[in-house]
Amino acid sequence: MSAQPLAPDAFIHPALRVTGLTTVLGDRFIHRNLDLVVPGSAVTALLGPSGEGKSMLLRAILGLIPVQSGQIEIFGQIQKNVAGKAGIGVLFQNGALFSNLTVRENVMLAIETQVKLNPRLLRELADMKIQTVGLEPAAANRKPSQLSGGMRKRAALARALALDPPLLILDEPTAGLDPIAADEFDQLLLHLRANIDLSVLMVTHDLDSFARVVDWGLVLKGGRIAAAGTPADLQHSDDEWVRSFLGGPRGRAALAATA
Amino acid sequence: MSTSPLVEIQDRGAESVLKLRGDFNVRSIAAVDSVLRGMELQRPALGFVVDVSELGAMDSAGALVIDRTLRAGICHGPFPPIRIEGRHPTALKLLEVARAASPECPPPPPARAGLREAVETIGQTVAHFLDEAAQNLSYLGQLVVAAASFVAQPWRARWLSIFHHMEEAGLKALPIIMFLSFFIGMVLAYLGAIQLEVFGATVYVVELVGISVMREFGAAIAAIVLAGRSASAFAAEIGAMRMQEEVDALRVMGLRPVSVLAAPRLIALVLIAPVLTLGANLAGILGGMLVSWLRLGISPALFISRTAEIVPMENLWIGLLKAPIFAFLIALAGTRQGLLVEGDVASLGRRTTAAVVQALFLIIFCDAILAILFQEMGW
Repeated sequence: MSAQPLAPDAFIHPALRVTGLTTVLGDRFIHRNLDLVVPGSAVTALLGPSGEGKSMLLRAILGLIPVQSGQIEIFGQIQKNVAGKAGIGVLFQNGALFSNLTVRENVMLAIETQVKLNPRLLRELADMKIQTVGLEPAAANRKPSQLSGGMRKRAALARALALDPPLLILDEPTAGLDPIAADEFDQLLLHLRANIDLSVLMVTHDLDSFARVVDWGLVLKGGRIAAAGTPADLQHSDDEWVRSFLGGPRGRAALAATA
Repeated sequence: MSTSPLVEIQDRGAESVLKLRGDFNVRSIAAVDSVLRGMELQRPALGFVVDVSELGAMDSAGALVIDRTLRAGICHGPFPPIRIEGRHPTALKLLEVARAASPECPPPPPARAGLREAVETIGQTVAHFLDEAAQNLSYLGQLVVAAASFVAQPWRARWLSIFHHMEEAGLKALPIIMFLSFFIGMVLAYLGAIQLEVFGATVYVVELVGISVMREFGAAIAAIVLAGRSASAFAAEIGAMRMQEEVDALRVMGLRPVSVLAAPRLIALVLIAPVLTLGANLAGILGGMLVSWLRLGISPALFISRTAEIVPMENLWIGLLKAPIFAFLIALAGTRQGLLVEGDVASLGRRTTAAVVQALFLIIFCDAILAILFQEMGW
């Protein structure tokens, strides 16, 4: 499996459109009049050097940080700068599972906050999500601290998917995982994308993930999107950072493996 | 705009048809959940047909309730085959995902508590209490050894850390300790005055305030404030380090957490506690003096000279002797609970609570023992 061609209307009905976004941290500009489009039903990667505000951009989209100016549209709906919008599932970098709840309770909580269901159905639904992400049923009763790093990411993904969000935001989903666990996570993402109509925006530094699961890449540099394109296009980008990121020995190996 | 879901069953002999109408998503399925759960489907020879031609929106929750109905309580295969009739953009894939996600019966959540569990809980609590006492004693040994090695080789002690904790846990608590003690002194003098006026022996208020503040209240108030402020702070600080694996990092570097984290806090608290007690004594006596002056007309000069001449100085020494003992117990409970924190937030909260509760318990318990001891020794 590898990246699939974008649907013809992916940019006509984008999952996310940001126009003229400016954010400020203290007296420093993080994003300066930034425009970006995340195509629908595709996996989009947000790349860029460290400290250029990739995670901050995700936080701005999620409404977790104030925005100086600009407009954020999710599936054509203009968003107010408020956290807790329905329709976005988020996988935080370290999972951010509630550590005093079991995995099942974590997923149940995500559903309960939006929809009133009877407890039995709620539990069945949570158990289904937990198995969908490839965790064994017994993991549902465990606390996050009793799980391995890879399992914790899966559990966090189950929580992110709890309400079938059309847009999923992942912050470095494979960071800190060993190659096998990272590989399995990529497979899981491909499997979900093939079976559920899902648009994904993820920050990643993982070149193997980038080569295997990503359909569209965005490069954030200097407070704006410096380059955009398919992984193959980006290899021949004018941007020096992109070329060294993808054209270095690791990048070449990763892209060659899926070509 | 969503339409409420509806399920219709048609029997076609060899096949059973489930006709779905309306939306089957997480916001709508509560309406059909109980109907579907109560439905008992006969297993048809050829399998099930799901008619999706009039199905509206569907999500994985909707697929779950349909798949659950078709499985009819079967958790292990072989499942009856499913055929889809009609066109729908997502239904087939969602049903496949739901089927793939339910191959086994998930384990039930832990059972609810009953009478038996209640009795068991009591037993476990008692056993836990005894266990805690034993563990506390063993930790006390480690802590004493770690602290004693500092005393034996003071140049190796972590003085920077000790002074930091003396200021953080000690001096910063002085205002609140003196404030509380001042009011306790006032209350003592006031209550004493009312009783002593009956006998016309109001001047004995001086002894009452002096003895009770110096012997009991000064040390006790300082210790109680320290237990609330510092036992919890020690547990939370060390506990947070446990959660970040900093404690493990120390151990890997060949450092003992008891020496590096617990002993400096213990020494700092033991050194600063007499100072705090002295402050509490001073404020308490001042409070008593103020009330005596305003209420009973005992001039401050008389109050001070009487305190100096008549109140036995043993009381001061007893109070100052108790202070480091209490400080030791507070540091013991706080640092030990901190080191016991596990990975989750709940355990941090539990341990911080336990630190304060144990510190208070130990202080009061020890105070009672010491009171009897000093009495028997005739001090």
